[in-house]
Amino acid sequence: MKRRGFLKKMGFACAGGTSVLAGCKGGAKADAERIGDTSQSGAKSKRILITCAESSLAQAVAAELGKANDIRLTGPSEVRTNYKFTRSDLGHGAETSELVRGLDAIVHVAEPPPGSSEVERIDYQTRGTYNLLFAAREAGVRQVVFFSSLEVMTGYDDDLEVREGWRPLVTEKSSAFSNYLGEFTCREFARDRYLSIVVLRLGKVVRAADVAGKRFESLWVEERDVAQATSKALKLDLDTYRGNRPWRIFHIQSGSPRARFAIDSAKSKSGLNYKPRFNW
Amino acid sequence: MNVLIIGANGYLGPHVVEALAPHYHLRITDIKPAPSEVRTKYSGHEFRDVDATSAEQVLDAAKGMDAILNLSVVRPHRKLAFYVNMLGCYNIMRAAVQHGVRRVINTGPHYTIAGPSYEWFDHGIGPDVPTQSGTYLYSLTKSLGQEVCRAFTENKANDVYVLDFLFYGFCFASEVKRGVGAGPFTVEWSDAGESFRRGLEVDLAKLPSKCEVFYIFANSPHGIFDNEKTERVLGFKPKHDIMDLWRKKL
Repeated sequence: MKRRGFLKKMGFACAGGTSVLAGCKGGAKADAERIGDTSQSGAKSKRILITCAESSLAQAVAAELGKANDIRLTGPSEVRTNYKFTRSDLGHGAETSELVRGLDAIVHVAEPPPGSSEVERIDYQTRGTYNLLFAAREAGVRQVVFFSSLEVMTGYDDDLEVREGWRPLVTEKSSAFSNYLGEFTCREFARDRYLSIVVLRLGKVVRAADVAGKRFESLWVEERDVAQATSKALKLDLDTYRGNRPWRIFHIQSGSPRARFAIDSAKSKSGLNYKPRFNW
Repeated sequence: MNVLIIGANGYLGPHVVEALAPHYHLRITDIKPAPSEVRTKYSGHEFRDVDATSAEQVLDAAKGMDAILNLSVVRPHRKLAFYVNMLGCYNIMRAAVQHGVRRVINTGPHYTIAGPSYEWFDHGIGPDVPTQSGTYLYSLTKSLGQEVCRAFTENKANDVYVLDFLFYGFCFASEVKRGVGAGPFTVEWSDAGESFRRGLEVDLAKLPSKCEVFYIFANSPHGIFDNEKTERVLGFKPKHDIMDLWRKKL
């Protein structure tokens, strides 16, 4: 019980209960890895908040990041998890300030609750993101990874080699209109340089097992590859000139030759060194 | 021309109503009921209570209109600022598209477009620079609202034009005296109202695009912002010379 109390004090709740997450290992070794100052790669362990805990993607990201970091989850509805979980609607009250206190980084999965209307999606992506980043800035959090969608770039002709620096093409009818407004909100926070924000524009996130045997779609990206990219985004060195760029965007999808968008920037060593494993 | 004004009972609204009432039929709306003296003064016009955050109310108010002016604003409230300044634009644009209203004039502060990252550093800042609102609640929510408007105009299926009129400081003619001082983006109140007439009269087909931003301020000596486009495209030039505001007191 003493040990459990210590873990709780340290921000962990990985003792007992049925985990819905594959990545929250039990046992002293796993605990030590998460509590300790160094990860397997030698990088310093970070205290990381992941939003939208109820989503499969957030859980996949938690499983990956949880190997070497202190993970906390949040979402608008209760989620059973072995990680520390705090329910939050990302409002502007003190609870959001409390949510981000003491963190090193935030992974904002930015996935509105299922069944949200377009107005609710816009509200979530803008006001929710604003509240989260505002609190993060006040609390001195340095890094944010924001998940957006490659759908903001699908307005270009298929045969164009679309890059991250190109202007998103959206109208109010675009499926990713709210994602675009979320990016817009993040960009202004990056511009004032208190937060370093990496936007990962994701293709259509799938699980390999779920799409086995199905016809390939050119936007597919496996959620474990997204988790890999997220982990690498959080390892961008904030103290170098390159890492200190407060605003970076990477396109993340499979490495399939039939993939819609190039992922050269993400794959490059000066980028994320992203190595997609699910390439269909 | 039938003109719907949303948020007509604020600071700017009464000056806009005064400038437009002799020339157009106005549907004057606000979340706050108009005072009785205003209803009496403009009895030939229509009054309604409309909440910009209500899609249904905005849709109903836009029926039969030729133009919509959005003067609604909430500044400090963390939730309502998003609802009014951004989702209000979404409601207005949806209503405009649904009812075939081709002309929308949106409004906001100058940092809807040109926030501190411009104003603290640059000169000659025009209205067609890439948006950099900054994170101040008022500026960012208005900027998001304008981005929503722009997105509707990017949809080729929508026959709607948006003119975004940006303001910041206002003064009465009687206040224009040497030594008073003013911010970098100031216009006399009646001139501000008059600018909407030009917005309603300008030939939409002659606009450079379906979404255009205009700075509404009188000439000033410091050259931080540039209002040349407003005169060139809209043909609007404030009548009141406010240059004395920046002159030394005698």
